[in-house]
Formats: sequence, C-alpha cells, structure tokens
Amino acid sequence: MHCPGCGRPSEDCPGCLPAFDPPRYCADCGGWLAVRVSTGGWVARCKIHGETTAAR
Amino acid sequence: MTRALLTALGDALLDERRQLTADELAAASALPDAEVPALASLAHEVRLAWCGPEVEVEGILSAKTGGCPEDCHFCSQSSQFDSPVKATPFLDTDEVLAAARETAKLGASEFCIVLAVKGPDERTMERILELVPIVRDETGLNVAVSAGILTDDQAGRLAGGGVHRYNHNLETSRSFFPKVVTTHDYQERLDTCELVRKHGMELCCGVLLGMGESVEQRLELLADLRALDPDEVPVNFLNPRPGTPLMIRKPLGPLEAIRWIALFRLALPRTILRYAGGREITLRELQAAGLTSGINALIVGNYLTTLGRDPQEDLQLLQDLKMPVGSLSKVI
Repeated sequence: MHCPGCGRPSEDCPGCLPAFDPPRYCADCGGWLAVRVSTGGWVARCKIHGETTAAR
Repeated sequence: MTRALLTALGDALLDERRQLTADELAAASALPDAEVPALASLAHEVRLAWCGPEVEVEGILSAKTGGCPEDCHFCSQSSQFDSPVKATPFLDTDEVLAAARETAKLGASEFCIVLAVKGPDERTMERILELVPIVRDETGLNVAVSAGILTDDQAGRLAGGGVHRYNHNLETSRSFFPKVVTTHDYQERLDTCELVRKHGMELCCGVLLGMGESVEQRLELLADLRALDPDEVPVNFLNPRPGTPLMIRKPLGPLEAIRWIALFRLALPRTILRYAGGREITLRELQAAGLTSGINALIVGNYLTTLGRDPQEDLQLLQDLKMPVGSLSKVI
C-alpha cells in the first residue's frame, strides 16, 4: 500500500494527506492520480488501477 | 472607549446609513480580542439591515485543472511548483453538466466554471461560450466564469455569451501582491475587474487572508475593494498547500478570521460576502460564527482541488439560523 498524499510506500510514510484533500496518489501503486473534484464528490483515476470515486 | 467606538460604528452604518471612513475601519481593526464577538454582532446587524437575511449558495468546478504558468505562491495548480495536483485537460461537456446538476440539486443559484489559466486562449473562449448557455438552460443556474486575465474583446464576448458574473480575485493588497505573485502585477488584475464592469457582468472579486500580510495591508486591500465596488467578495483563508511556497505558513486563527469577516462586512455593507476556501481548517467548529459575523453567501460542498464540508451540514446550519437560501444579485 502507498500513502495517498505523497505516493511513497506506507512503511515510509504513515499518511501525509492533508485533511480535506482527495487522494493524490494511488494507494495500490503510488502512481499519480488525475483527480476531478465537484461539489458533491470526487473521481480519481490511476492509469493502471482505474477510477476510484467518492460521492456524498 | 471601546463601547463608544462600537456605538459610533453602529450609528454610522445603521442610522446615518453611510460608509465608514478609513480611520474608523482602522480603529475597528485594533479592537482587543475580547471585543471581537461585539464587533461580529454589529457586522451581523449591518448585514441584515443592508442585505437582508438571504444567503446565496454557489457550487464551483475546476473545469481545467493545473498546469497554470503563473506563480501565485498559494496555489497548488501552478506548473512552477512541485505540487501533487496533477494537470488535467478541459472537462467535457457532460462532466461539467453533471457537476452543475449536483450543485442545482442543493438549491444553489450560482455555478462557477473555473479554469487554471493566465487568461483564455481562443479555443478556451469557444469552449466557455459553448458551455455557458448549455449549463444555464439545462440547470436554471446563473453561470459564473473564472478564466484569468481578459482582454476588452474577451470580456465583451463573455458578457454577450451569457456569463452572469465573472470572478477575478485581487487576493491581497497592492503592496503585498509582489510577495505572492511575480508573473503578473496587481494592475493587470484591476484592469480585468474594470473590464468586467464595463461590459455589464457582475464582478466577483475575492481575497485570500493569512498569507503573511499585515493589518495595514488588509486595510489597504479593503480600500481597494471599496473603490472597485464588486458585487461579490469571496473571503478565502489560506489552506497551506503541499509543494507551494506558502506551505509552511500556519492557518489563521479562528478569532482573527471572525474579526476580519466582520471588518469586511463593516467596510462593504451592501456587498455579497461569501464564505470560500479554507474556512474548514481555519474556523473548524465555528462555521456558524462566520454566518453571524457578516457572511451572506457560501460555496457549498467541495472546492477546486480540495474538499469542503458535507453540503447537508451547511444547509442544515442555514436552516437552524433561519437564513433562507436565495439569489442576491437583484436584492442588493
């Protein structure tokens, strides 16, 4: 697993994603995510692992 | 002395119904912390007297994220900083429309399409002009746009294309601006604001507090805003962004934030004053306090690249405070 704030392996970073931020890096591979934020949710897309979404 | 000052400010704004002088605002900014609740209470009274109880609700969308050539030191979308925010191209029409529908469902009256650009190129102009009527007609929302610095011709085309309100922030005072932006100057921002007014769009001109500016520089900013007389002023608080030069700054304290919300209301009694980015980490549990210190509009839900409170929490808060949701454009 990887830190969604910096993409480093979890053993190197226990989690640095600021409060009120969507993930910036893929939890599976640590790759950069393309993130689309809208009023009611967000969609994060990893080139390898596809989309993760969160809606209220 | 303190009591006398608050009474004099109230007399000026509520009885004489005149704007405060620069000296009166400076005196109000120097009130001790213990007087902030009284200052906030006066600002709330002024807001009700000048604007009424309605609160305008807006949703915003970053339709083109990151890759901006400018170096605004607070912004995670600048290509000049090592920010974790990845650049993404202009969203397609269906994506923008879906976001606008989410906003409309919440009872909002405004939807702002925001682009991370210095200014719009011709392709961007064409996309904006294509999107605005679609979003307006499909959702019934007033459509605002934020696309950076405009030429006279572009401002005219956006106005003609149905853009209800154009956002272009001053962010901070003229004297502090070069400390946080070096790729364009303050005058360019003012020039775009003037073009927005010239072409008949409503002007939304926001601020970002907590970047290291002094009290005097905030008062200077207020003076510039009073001269510009925008329809709306979104009040943002710095949310230090990873990778940006301002990432090391600490967020403003909640009491200071309430003080300045109140001062903005006293300085701009008839302007739409909108709760905007950074309020969650700055005010924490004191969200209601801003709404009773002069705020009469809010951005609901998420922001451009960061998340906000659950929209239902804000809507419940408005209901609890007996503040009806409404459009303010024609009220003020």
